[in-house]
Amino acid sequence: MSLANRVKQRREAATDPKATSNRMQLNLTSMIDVIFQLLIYFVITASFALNEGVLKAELPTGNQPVSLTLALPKQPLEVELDALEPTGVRIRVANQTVAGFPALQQLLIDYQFNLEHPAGRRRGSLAVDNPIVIAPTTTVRWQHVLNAYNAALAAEYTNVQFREPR
Amino acid sequence: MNVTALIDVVFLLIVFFMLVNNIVSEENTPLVPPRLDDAKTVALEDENRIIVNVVPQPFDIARRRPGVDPLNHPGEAAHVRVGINPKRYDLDALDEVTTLLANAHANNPELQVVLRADAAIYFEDIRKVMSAIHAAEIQRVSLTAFLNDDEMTLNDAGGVLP
Repeated sequence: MSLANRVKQRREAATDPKATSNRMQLNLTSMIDVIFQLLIYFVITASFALNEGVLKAELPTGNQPVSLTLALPKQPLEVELDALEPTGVRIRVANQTVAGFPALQQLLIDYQFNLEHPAGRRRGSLAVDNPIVIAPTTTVRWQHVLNAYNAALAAEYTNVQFREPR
Repeated sequence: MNVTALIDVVFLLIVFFMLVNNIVSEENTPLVPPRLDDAKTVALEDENRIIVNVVPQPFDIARRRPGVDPLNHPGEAAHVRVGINPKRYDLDALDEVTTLLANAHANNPELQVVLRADAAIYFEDIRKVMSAIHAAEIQRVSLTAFLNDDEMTLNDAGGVLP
């Protein structure tokens, strides 16, 4: 038999359905179905805690309630937070209303005395370790309380405290 | 059709989501942390910490996204959860939390508490949890909030501020 005929026979055998039906094949269809179901389940149910950070704080030592153990120094600056319906807040410092938390931060910077600050001398009357007391009412939302705390930290005060709710 | 590579990739995705899903759900209870103006928050340290969650009433996350007013939610906290412990502590009976934290602090003096509370919760309820932490004689407390918008990345998840 010539070479051309042998090649022709092999091609015919390869395309013959009867010849190929005897080959073993792994049917993956149902496994892929299950895998995709699992994938969809985990994609849908996955949740991520994104973009959270913390503001570091230190609570006073001792066994007494917080408010009783705080012996406030001579010139604590009180930041009063009053709840406004439904979810708002009014900020007051030294009986003056402050427009918002950026304004509170600027006010605290203006009050500060620090001639060595890298951004320029601060010629207020409060030392950087002067107590800043956050004084919220009971129903002020936590976000507002933390915003006030953050404003004091941003103004670079090192002694920021929370007072018992008024 | 050769589907081997496809199956490899799909399996890797499944493993990824299984692992990530477990890690997140064990420590972080779903809540909306405060969003601050000019936030000074920093990324959270992974060691020597225990997370105390002050959990709000059940909510629909779609109704509390930024721009919708995340504070528009009842201010009374539902319960408190500590670390990966699934137990729910009532806010009027936090003695157990104090004991738990005191024991953890005795075993690890470097321990710091991460107070993770929902933005809408009243300060009155937060104060109760603060008092419980204080009673455990733990001084190192970190307060959770969103990181500054400019610094938002996946790698910052669960981090802290200086």
